[in-house]
Amino acid sequence: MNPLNSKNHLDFTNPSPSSFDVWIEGAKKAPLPAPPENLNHQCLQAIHEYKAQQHTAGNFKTILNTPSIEANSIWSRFELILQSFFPRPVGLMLTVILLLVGIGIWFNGRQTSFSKPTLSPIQVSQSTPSTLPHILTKEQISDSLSTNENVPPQVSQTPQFINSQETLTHTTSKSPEKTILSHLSQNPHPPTTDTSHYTHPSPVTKKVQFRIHLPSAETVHLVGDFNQWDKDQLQLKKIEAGIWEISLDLSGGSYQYQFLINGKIWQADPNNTSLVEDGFGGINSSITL
Amino acid sequence: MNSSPDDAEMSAVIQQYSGYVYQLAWRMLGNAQDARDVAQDTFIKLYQNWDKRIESSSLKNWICTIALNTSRDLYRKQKRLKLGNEKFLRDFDEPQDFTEDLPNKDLVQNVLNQLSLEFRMVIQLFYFEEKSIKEIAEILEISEVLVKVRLFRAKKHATKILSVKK
Repeated sequence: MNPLNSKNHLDFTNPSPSSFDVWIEGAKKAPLPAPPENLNHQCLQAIHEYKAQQHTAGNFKTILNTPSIEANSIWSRFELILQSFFPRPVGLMLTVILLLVGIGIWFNGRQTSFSKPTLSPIQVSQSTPSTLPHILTKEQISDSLSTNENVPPQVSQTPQFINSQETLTHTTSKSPEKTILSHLSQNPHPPTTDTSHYTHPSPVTKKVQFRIHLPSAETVHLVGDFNQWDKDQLQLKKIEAGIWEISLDLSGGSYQYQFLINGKIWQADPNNTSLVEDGFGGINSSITL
Repeated sequence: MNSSPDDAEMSAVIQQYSGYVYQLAWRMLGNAQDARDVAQDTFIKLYQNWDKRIESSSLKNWICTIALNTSRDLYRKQKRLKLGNEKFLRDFDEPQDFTEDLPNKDLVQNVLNQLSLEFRMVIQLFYFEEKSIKEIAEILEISEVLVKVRLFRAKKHATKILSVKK
């Protein structure tokens, strides 16, 4: 360990080994740990796993890059044409919108019952007030009612009956009622808008049966457009226990009616789903032939 | 130069150098499990970067560079983990495969483990593999002067450790 020689000079010719040199000489001779037997296999396995990962990643990249639709059918051609004009989301949206519009047109063209608008007469008269200068006010109707011979005076006090009569003035302009509708018959320009859509006069008459189930009723009358809302004209017959019936021969057209029970109670047809507001809070049943 | 080697080429390389990489990593990190991990990662990196290989330099030196860098990464990761919960990890480090780790543990690895990783590298390359300064500079991708400086410091540091032991 002493670097100085006998002459007290640094000895470069034969330096004594330091502790590091001793240690490193020993360490060089020391055997290294042998690698485990399956090390090669493990390394290969790791590389294979890495390759598999790269493969899936590469597949994903190719899926992203290639166009998803090939022009092998008419539909995909259409999509491609759309895509050439618009980016993909817009093209899809346009396709969907076109489809919806097509469905809408097809559906609108079908003659379904609910596609027909059911307008109450009072709505029509309200929508075109300028063309209907002859419409009677409530006071005029009540005045004319009080002078009407056909209507009993005590009935005119009931609100339902007034409503019915008022509806009558709007709906049946061609009826031969003398008193109230004289206004209409004298009108030189009879309105066409408020009558054309619910009266379709045709020469063919149909037999219509009206039935109602009323076990506790004593008398039942049918009152409507077809008998000019005369409450005594059409009386129903009791055919079974609680079932009242009447048959009428009606020409084609649209009619509104109600049942009058025991001479007091007004009742729309419970079996008829098409109901029309009479414009004064009551509801009439409607029938179209 | 292929972009990626085929299986036969790769398995030949592994056959030839796996033991070398394992022992190198074992010297650097001082335990069998880490050495095995480093060996696997080294060959995956070799496969990834096969096209970046320079034909002029030897394959062994290039593998050595990759192995040393890989073990340095692992060492830093472990150091970061150990700084967080050293006490916790010590219990898990204890049970090891002693049959693999035991030989020359006292003689070489005790001293090497007390040196920093940079010193371990130069000592390993210069003394155990007996590579020239120039080669070491190529492998570690540093200047030759820095290799000499590190060698000198490593020797000094190791001597201090040995004198303390005695």
